[in-house]
Amino acid sequence: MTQKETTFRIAGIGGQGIVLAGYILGNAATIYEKKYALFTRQYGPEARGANCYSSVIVSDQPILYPIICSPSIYICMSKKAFDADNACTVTPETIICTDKNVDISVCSARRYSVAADLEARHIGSRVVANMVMLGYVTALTGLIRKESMIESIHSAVEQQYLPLNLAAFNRGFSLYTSEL
Amino acid sequence: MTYNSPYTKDDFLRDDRGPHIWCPQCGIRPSIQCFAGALAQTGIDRDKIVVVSGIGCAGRIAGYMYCDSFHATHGRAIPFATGVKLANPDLTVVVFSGDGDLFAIGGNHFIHATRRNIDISVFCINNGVYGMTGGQSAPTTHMGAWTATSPYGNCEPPFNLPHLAESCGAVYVARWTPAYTDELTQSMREAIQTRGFSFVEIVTPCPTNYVRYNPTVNTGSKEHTRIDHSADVHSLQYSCEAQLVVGTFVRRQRPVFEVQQNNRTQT
Amino acid sequence: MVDPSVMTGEHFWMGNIACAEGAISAGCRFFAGYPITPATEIAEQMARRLPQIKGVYIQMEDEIASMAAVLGASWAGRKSMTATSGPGLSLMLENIGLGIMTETPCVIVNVQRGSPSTGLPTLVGQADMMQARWGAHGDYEIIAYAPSSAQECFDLTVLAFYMSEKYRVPVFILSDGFVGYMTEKVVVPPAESIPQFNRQKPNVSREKYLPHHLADNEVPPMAVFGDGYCVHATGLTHDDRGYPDTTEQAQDILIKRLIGKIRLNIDDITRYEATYLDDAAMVVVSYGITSRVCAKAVELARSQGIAVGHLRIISVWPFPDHLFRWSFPDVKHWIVPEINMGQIVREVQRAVCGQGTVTPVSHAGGDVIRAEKILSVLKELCK
Repeated sequence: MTQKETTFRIAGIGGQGIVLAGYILGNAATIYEKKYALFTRQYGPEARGANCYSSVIVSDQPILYPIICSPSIYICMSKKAFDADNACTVTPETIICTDKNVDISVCSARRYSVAADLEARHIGSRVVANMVMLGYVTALTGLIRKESMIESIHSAVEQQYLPLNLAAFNRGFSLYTSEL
Repeated sequence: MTYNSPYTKDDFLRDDRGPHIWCPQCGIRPSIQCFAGALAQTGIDRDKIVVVSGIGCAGRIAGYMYCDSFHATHGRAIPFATGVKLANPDLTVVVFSGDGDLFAIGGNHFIHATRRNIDISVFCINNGVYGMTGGQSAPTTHMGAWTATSPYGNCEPPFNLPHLAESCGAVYVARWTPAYTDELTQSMREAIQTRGFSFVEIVTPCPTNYVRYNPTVNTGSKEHTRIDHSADVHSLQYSCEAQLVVGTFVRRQRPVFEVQQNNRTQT
Repeated sequence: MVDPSVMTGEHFWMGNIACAEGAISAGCRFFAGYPITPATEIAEQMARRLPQIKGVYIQMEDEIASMAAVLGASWAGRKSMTATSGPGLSLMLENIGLGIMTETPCVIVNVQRGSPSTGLPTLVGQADMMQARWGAHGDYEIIAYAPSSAQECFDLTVLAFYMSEKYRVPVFILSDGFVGYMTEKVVVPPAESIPQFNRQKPNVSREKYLPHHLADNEVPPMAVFGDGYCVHATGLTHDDRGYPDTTEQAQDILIKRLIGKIRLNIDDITRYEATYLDDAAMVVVSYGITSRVCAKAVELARSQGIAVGHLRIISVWPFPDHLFRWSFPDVKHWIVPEINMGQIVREVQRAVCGQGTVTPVSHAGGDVIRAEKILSVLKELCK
């Protein structure tokens, strides 16, 4: 089997929209890119404040194995959740995207620091930091077209919150492109 | 009073199931006669009537009725009937069961179906004990009464069933004894025709496994009972000594479950 | 005409949503349930969807009431379902037994979690396999399908309704906390290509109708409430009229028929998938989410030159003994990974009947078994 899979791990705390981010990513790949995606989530009984993880596998072929051990891309929104993640390990090949506020002790040449939380506050709410991060990662990886992600956001976010979420996504996208 | 109905009460009794299982002085048999009479008086299409019972002596009632009928698990007649009624609102659904079935093991279902105002009728044979298993104490056994499982006298206060039904929101609440044939028949007819959750308690202590050991129990004869439709259900007496007050205590209107649900779905 | 209830097209759904949509596509129009992790999304989806398509949703006071209401709705003529997890299933079992005894078509989804008792509410388990088979008291046969993907949650729920209507028996979907939340592509076919079976109605008069009489295919036609047949159904042992008959003779006829209608039709009910069985002396047996892991382990083993096959059991109950006895007689080693301490492995041992060795790979629950662990067992057996 030589199928090419790209794997994402998103770690954060409950309330940061970790599950929503994973869903939007997988949905964009499946429905709007006609790829295959498999999205899983892990969390405890707390609705807010506990460690929360999303895993997304994207492939051009049907996905057999639902487990990620070392992700291609690790998106870290919380140091606490990252440190407690005993399901996934980062390797030197792992692309790591962290929020600027998050200080994790991992050395990687491919580490990106994103001002997601700060930009989200500027846009209007910290709760859309996940969308800033998604926009950034979309631009960074080039795996899924921006248009597909935006369509996926449209299908997953309630109408009244769409402008805020789309603004955050676009801000994140241009954060990366302006770094080039 | 005459009724324009294609049926007589015999049309609602299965004639291929005799002899029945109940004891000679038991109040279930006359209560079924009243029930069959009430069904006939309503004139409702027999093919659209469903009777559901639980387990116990009264749990066997469904099996003797000539209409669609179901003999459910112990205590679960009301939720089964809820499923029937919601799945096909054209059906008239009656739960006919006993006090242990409806108020001990099934008590939770009673209060919730009443609260929701499911459009069914619940008729309860209250014989004061678990009769079929040989006379053990029930949530309706009088204080101090001897039963096989309260050999030193029952130490638990019994339920006041009309009060329970009223406080949960039943739209029709009555209590009778089999001595009141006409009144019980009429009350059952009214309950069936009332839209919403209706409840009729039929007090008829078990002759074999209760009254035999507790000769002072009020058996519900006319001389030991009194009709008072305006009685306050909160203070209805239910004890060995006191006169038993019977009557139709509650008549009111409240939107039924399906209407509440449909109104919200369609907006 | 396009059926508006069938969401034909491609979706990115979690297994639980796929279960709900599979049920709706199969014609389910009644759901009664009680919230429980990790099955709640099924109830939530039904609460949203059923009122749009003239269906009925009700949240009952507990799982006992939920199962009773499902039986009631089925007797009133609707295809009915509930969904729960282990603790809820424990409460439902008495009424599931009533459904078996009264031959009531319905579907029960059990999204299994770590157990016993409250266990691991949000995490995967596969330890309710025997509960589904033997949980209600007494002797009976049951049908159960175990999905391993969101697509199978849809497809097998459709199949579960088909079989429940055909054989007049409650049918289980034995999903789990991993499959329930695993979100993948689900293709919903056009309504006309979704297999549906509607319970057979009697074609004789009320006087001649015997609701529990032995029919040609062992399944009697079913008149429901309101059809004008004045049916009586009871959890007591009954005769072919449905009337209580608590005798040894009636018990013998009834129980043998209830069991026989499943056992005699096992070929029609059974679903499985065999991969690389042609040259394999060693075969991994799997079901549910563990199948995904086993498939990976088998691929890894094959790439390392180990001739291993994979037998994925989709219909867990009735257990497909015949596959082990007759279909694959040359297999010498059977390996059975499952997220419990050894349940289906005993069935395999029984079915193999000494014709090969049987090795369990156990996991107490909380996560899926890793492919590497299964691979190491395979390598060990090759030595």
